Amino acid sequence: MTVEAADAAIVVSRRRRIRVLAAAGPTAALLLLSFAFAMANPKFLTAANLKNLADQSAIPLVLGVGMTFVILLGAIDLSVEGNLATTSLVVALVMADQTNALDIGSWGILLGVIVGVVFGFVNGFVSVSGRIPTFMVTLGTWSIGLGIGQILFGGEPPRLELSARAWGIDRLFFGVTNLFFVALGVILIGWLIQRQTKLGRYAYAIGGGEEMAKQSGINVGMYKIFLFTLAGAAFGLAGAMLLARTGVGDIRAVGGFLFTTISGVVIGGTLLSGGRGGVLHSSVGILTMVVLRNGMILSGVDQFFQDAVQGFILIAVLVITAWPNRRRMRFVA
Amino acid sequence: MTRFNTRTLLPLFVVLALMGAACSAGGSTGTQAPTTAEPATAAPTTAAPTTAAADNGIAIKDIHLVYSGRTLSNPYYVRASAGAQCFADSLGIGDNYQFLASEGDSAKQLSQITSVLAAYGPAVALNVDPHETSILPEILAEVEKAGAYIVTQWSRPDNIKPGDAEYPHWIAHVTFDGVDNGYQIAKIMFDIMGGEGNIVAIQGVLDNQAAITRFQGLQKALKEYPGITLLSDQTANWSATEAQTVMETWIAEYGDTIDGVWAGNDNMAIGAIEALRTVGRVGEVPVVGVDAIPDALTAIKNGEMAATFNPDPAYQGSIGLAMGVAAITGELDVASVPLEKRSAFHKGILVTADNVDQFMGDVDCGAYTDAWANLFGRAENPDF
Repeated sequence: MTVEAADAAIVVSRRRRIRVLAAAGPTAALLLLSFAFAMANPKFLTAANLKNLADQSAIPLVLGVGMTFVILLGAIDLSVEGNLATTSLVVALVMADQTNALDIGSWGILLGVIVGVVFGFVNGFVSVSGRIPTFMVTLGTWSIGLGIGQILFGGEPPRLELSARAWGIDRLFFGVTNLFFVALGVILIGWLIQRQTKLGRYAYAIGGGEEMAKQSGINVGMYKIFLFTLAGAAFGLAGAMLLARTGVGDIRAVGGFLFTTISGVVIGGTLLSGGRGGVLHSSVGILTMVVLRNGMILSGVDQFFQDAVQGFILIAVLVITAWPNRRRMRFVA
Repeated sequence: MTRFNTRTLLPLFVVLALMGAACSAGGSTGTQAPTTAEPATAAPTTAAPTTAAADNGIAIKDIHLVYSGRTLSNPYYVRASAGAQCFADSLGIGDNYQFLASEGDSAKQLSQITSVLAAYGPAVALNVDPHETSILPEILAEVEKAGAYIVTQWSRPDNIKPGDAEYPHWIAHVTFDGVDNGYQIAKIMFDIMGGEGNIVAIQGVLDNQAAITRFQGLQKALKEYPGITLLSDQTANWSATEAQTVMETWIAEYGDTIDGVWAGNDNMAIGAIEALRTVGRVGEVPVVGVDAIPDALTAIKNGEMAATFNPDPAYQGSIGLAMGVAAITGELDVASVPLEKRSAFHKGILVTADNVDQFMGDVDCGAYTDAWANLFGRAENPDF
C-alpha cells in the first residue's frame, strides 16, 4: 500500500465515521430525551401515550419530508403555513361541510395536493427564473397563502362532516390513526426518491455545490423547481391531513408548524447549508420536537417555563447533533 | 432592457397567476366568502335616534363610523363588525361604516386610525379594540387632537380610564369580567358533574389579561366546590390544534378519570372535543369555554359541549358607535355620565343548550335597538 493510498483510506474512514456520528447524534438525543421523560413519568411509555405521539407526529413528519428536499438544496421554504392555510380551506370547502352543498369526496385530498403543488411550483419557478433568494419568494407566498385562506374562510370556519374525515382519523391498525400510516408512506416515498432517483441524487449535488453541479451538466434550475414542487405536494397533503385531524378549516390552526418543521429538520442533521442529511434524519428530528412537547406536559414542567425549557433543550440537542459536523459548520459560517 | 423587464415582471405574473388559480379552485366551490361579513341589508326604516343636526354642526350623514379590531378571519370580529354595520344601517349611513383590521399589529392599528382621523376629523366615531394596551395612549392622543370620539373594548392600561381630564373625548371603556366569565362556566360544569369529580383546565396565552382573569374565576369556583379536583392545567395559547394535543396527552395520563374540561376560550374547547372524540367520550365529558364562536354554538346544539359565555360581539361592535354618534350629535353629554358607567364590565350571557338557538344564524339587528337607545343599560359593575 502506498502512502497516498493509506492517507486516502484514512480520509475515507474518517469521513465514514463522521457520517455515522452525524446520523447517530440526533437518534441518541431522541433516545436520551425519551429516557429522561420516561423516568419523569412512567405514563410516557404507555401504549396510550405512544399512540398519541404517533398521532401528533403524523403531520409534522410529512412537512419534514417535504422540507428536507428544499433544505438539501441549501434553500428554504417559509411558505409552509401559507400552503397549509390555503390547502386546508380549499379541501374543507370542496368536501362535505356545513357551508356549502359541494362534496367531491376523497378527490378533495387530491385537490389539496394539487394546490400544494401549485404553491411549490411557484416558489421554485419564481426563485429560479427571477434569481430571487428562496427566502424572499417563500416569505411572499407564505403571506399570499394566508391571505387566500382568509378570503376562503369568509367569517365562518367550514366544519367537515365526520364521514369526510374518516380516512384520516379512523384507526385501522394498532389503534393509531391512519394519518400516521400516511406519514410513514410519505417517508418511504421520500426516502426512495432521495436514494433511488436522479432527483434525489441531484438534490445533494446541487446543495453540495451549485456551480460544480452546473459544470457537470445538471440542469440546476429545472431540478430546483421539481424539488420545490415536490415539497409543495407534501405540504398540500399535510394540509388535507390537518383538516382531517382538527375537523375545521381554520387558518388559525396552522400556527407553529413552520417552527416545528424547520427545527425538526435541522435537529435531525439536515444542514441548512445544503447537501447533507436526508429524509430519515429529518424524521428523527421531527419526532424529537413532538416528544419534547408531549414529554414536558407529562413530566409536569411548569407551563410558564416550557418555552424556555424547549429553547434550552433545542440548543442542547443541536450542540450534540452538530458536534461531529462542527468543522463543516464552521466552514459554512 | 427588455430582458431586464421580463426578469423583474415574471415573478409578479406568476404570483398573480397563483392567486388566480387558488382563488378559482376555492371560488368555484361556492364559497360563502364575505357574505357573512356583510349582514343582510338591515331595515333602513328604523328612525335615527337623533335626526337634528348636531350642536357642533355635524350632520348624521357626515359621521364616519369606524370599528378597529384584529381580523375578519376571526368569527368574533365578523360578528362584531356585523353588529356595527347594523347600527350604521339603522341610521341610514351604512356606507359610512368601515372595519379596520389591525391583523395583530399595533403600529398598523395606530396608522390606520390616524389616517381615518386625518380624513374625517371630528366627524369620526371610533370603536376600538386595542391590539395591545400600550398602544392606547397614542391612539387617544390622536383622537383628542382630531376632536373625534372614541369607545374602547376589552383592555386598557391600568393607569388611565375614561373620565381622565386628559381625554375628554374618551367616552367609555366596555369590557367583560373575565373572573365572572371563568367562574360562571366553571360553576355550570360543576353542577352538571353533580359537584364531584376531576377536571382539567386549558389556559390561553399565559400573560394575557383575559386568560389570567378567567382562570381566577375557575379557581374561585373550585373553592366553592370542594368535591372537584383540578388534575392539571396547561396553556394551549388559544389554539385549537394545541389544545387537541394537550388534551390527548392528558387522556393518556388520566384516562377515564377526567370528568370535565374547562377551556379559557371556545377555540381550545373545540380542540379538546376533537381529542375526546377519538376516545369516544365526546358528549360524555362536559366541556366549557368562553366567546360563543359559531363552532361552539354548533357543538352545544349537538350536545358535544356544555356551555360557553357570550360577550355578545354584535353588541360590542355596535354600542361603541352608538355612544360615539350620540356624543358627536350632542345628544349625549359625555361628562355627565357617572364614571362607574364609563369604565364598566358589561353584561354577557351564559349560553347552554336551553338558549343556544337565539345566538345562531345571522346577527339579528332588531335585537339591539334597545341597547342603542339606552346606551349604558348593560354596564353592570365598575371596572376599576
